[in-house]
Amino acid sequence: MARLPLAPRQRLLAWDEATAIAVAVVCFIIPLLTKSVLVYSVLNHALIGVIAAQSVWIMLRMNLLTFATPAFMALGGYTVAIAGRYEITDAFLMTAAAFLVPALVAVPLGALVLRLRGTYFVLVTFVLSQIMQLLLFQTPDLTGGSNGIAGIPAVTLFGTEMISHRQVLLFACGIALIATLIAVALTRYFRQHFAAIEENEILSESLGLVVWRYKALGFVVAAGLAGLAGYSLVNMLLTAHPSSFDSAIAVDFIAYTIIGGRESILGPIIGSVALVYATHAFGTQGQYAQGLYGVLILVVILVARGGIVGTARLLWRRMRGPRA
Amino acid sequence: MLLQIDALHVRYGGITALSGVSIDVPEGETVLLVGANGAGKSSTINAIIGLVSPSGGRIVFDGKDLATTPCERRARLGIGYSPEGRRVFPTLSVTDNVLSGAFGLGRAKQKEALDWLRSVFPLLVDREKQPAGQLSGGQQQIVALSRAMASFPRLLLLDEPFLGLAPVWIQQISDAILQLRARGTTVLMTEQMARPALKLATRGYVMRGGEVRRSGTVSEIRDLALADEYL
Amino acid sequence: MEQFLQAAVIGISLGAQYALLALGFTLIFGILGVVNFAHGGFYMIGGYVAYSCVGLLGLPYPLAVLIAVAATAALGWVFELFLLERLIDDHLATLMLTLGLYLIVSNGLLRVFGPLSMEFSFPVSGSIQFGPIYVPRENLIVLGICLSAILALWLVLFRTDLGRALRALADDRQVAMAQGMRPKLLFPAAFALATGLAGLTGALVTPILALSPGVGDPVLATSFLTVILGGLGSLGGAALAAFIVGIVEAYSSVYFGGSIGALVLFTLVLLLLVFRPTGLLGREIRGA
Repeated sequence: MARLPLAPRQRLLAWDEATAIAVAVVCFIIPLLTKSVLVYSVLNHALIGVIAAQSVWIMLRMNLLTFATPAFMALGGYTVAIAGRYEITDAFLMTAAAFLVPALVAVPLGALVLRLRGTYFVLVTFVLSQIMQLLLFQTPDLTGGSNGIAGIPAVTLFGTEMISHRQVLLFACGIALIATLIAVALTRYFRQHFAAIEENEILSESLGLVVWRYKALGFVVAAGLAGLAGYSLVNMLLTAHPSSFDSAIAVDFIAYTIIGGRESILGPIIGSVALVYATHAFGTQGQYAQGLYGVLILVVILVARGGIVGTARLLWRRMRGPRA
Repeated sequence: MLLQIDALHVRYGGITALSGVSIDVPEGETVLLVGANGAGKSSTINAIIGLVSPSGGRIVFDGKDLATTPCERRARLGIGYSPEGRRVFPTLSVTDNVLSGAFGLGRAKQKEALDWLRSVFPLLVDREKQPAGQLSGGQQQIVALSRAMASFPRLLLLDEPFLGLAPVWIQQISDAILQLRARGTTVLMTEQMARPALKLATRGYVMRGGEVRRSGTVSEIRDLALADEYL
Repeated sequence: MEQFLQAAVIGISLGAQYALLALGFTLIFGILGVVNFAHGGFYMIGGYVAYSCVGLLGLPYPLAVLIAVAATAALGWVFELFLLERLIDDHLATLMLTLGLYLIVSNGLLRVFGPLSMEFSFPVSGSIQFGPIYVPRENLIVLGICLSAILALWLVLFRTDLGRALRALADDRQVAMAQGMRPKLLFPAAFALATGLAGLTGALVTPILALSPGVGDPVLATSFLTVILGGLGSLGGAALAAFIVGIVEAYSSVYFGGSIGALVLFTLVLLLLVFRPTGLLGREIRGA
């Protein structure tokens, strides 16, 4: 149970938010330290997972479980892929576009689907990602249909083509940092609003909180973050393909968030890194990872509600003992 | 004594709903709990049927302490329950609602109950296939009462049977309760509307603020009960 | 004209299969309030159990189907009783539990049977000719079993004490308990009934369509589609919607090709969810 926030003093950043940003910053150093293909692969996948999981996490802050992340990722990823056809590759422009296109689509969509709560919201987001998948196949002129769009040109940053493995990874770090900053800014600024909605939406509304406004804002930003994750994914693969945005991958991001811990922004970050690493460590092409996610989800839901972060926090408090 | 409640305490979170309520329901009588909203009537009924667990005190039914008997088993002991606000099963047909009150008693017993209740309440025949949620409030009360009676209970708990009903229906329900009384069924009922309820009861308890203020025969409590009605 | 009728045959066969799937799914939602993401998993288990009984143990197919039903029902019963029941009132938690189970099941099947499709075919082949159209025997048999199963489920729900108790518990759990109905006994039974139906469908349909560890995903999507279209929790609605979905899919694949039909259906379902969550038949539904 979350507590209603009665913050005695407002800090600029809580310790976990500061840690989250610090982790995102530290990531920039890793590509400079090693050339290991394994590290590069794990880190790049994890960075994409971090962004997508933060998108899921923002919705969970409002007690909404979303399966629509792949749909918004596709919007962001395909925006970049299609722009690439016209040789538009500027990093700043494309980052903005990958965020704004899904965010703008989310505005009217949010007006529709945010009327639903609980189970019904889950179902509608599941349906959304199915529709996006079908749309990709049905629009071959725009999206290349089942072939997707291959051979996307590399990003250009200040006139430099970010073409080497190291450059691609550094760029992924950059996107992840931006996404983390956005997620922290949103959830910190509206912390009490989100907490009130998570605790009891109907009560908050009757107490005068304009709930739909914050839910819409959260939905739009979550869509934008998913778009950034899509951008990062497309940039890593240099291909936009429908299978990259299959509705089944929504489950991965939900797993990262729930297992990492839904009560802090460190949850999606730690969850993504840990599970992506485990996926690589566990076997070839991670085909056995799903079962691991399944087991961990059961464990978290049944015995460790706070996920990795929540459980660690609990243990830490217990070790320090009760303090006056 | 069929039902004996001894110093019952019920708490919801930090709020005390009942503090030290003692009630006796002798076999064959109709006992009335009367009092304003929030006096603790429904909490008493819910504690007897097992929907809330008391924080203190004893409930003894037919010589058996109910403390460790879960809600689902109490029906089997012979306690029928018609909840506040009727709460018929809205999507179930009228017949299914009645039969659900005789859950697990076997086909023969269920048929006996249905035939008997249909003879008492013609409504159950007229509307047999209609979902109970579509009925009027008075009709729903008849269904809820029938459901509670379908297991031929020894003790019938009626929580606010007149709530929100027109006088015509109050008369009908009263007649039904009198019929049940004539069959020897023991009834414990709660009511805010003391006037019609007093006509049915043999004994009564006036409740206020989670406590019993006065108890006795109907004539002994009448003035206090009626005073409460206008609070 | 022949093509038109032939498509109708395909559509009705599909519809019967979807109806079996959707009834189990909607039963679980209607009575327990649980969105069962593992539904496709039970379908796959049904298929693999039947396959193993026939292919590895050499048992006759009808017996294999029965074993598949028993196995999926037993697993469903255990899962409900020991895991779901603890958190039955928390809809997001139960959803996550079924999602976790689905991941474990599909991954487990992948590990045991490998990623490739199984050689598993229906023991009856050939077609019966009705005038200009051909109806495959296997489809007729599946249709027959599906319709019987639907009838049996209807009888259980609307003509027995158990069914009445399940519907009463779905309507008002507290009052139902006060009538002597025990959710701890009845909810696992309802869940087992539904997962048994999914297992039955899997055992019957995977020999006709395909059996591989990936087939659970589209099954789940189709169940969603059908159940939302029919109105969550409504049995009649789900059955009706299943035939609509089957027929729409059949005609769109014959006349338009590709996935236009699915796109139209999903879009329709999106709008239904938002504007009319009671579905086509507009029955009373439980709150989420």
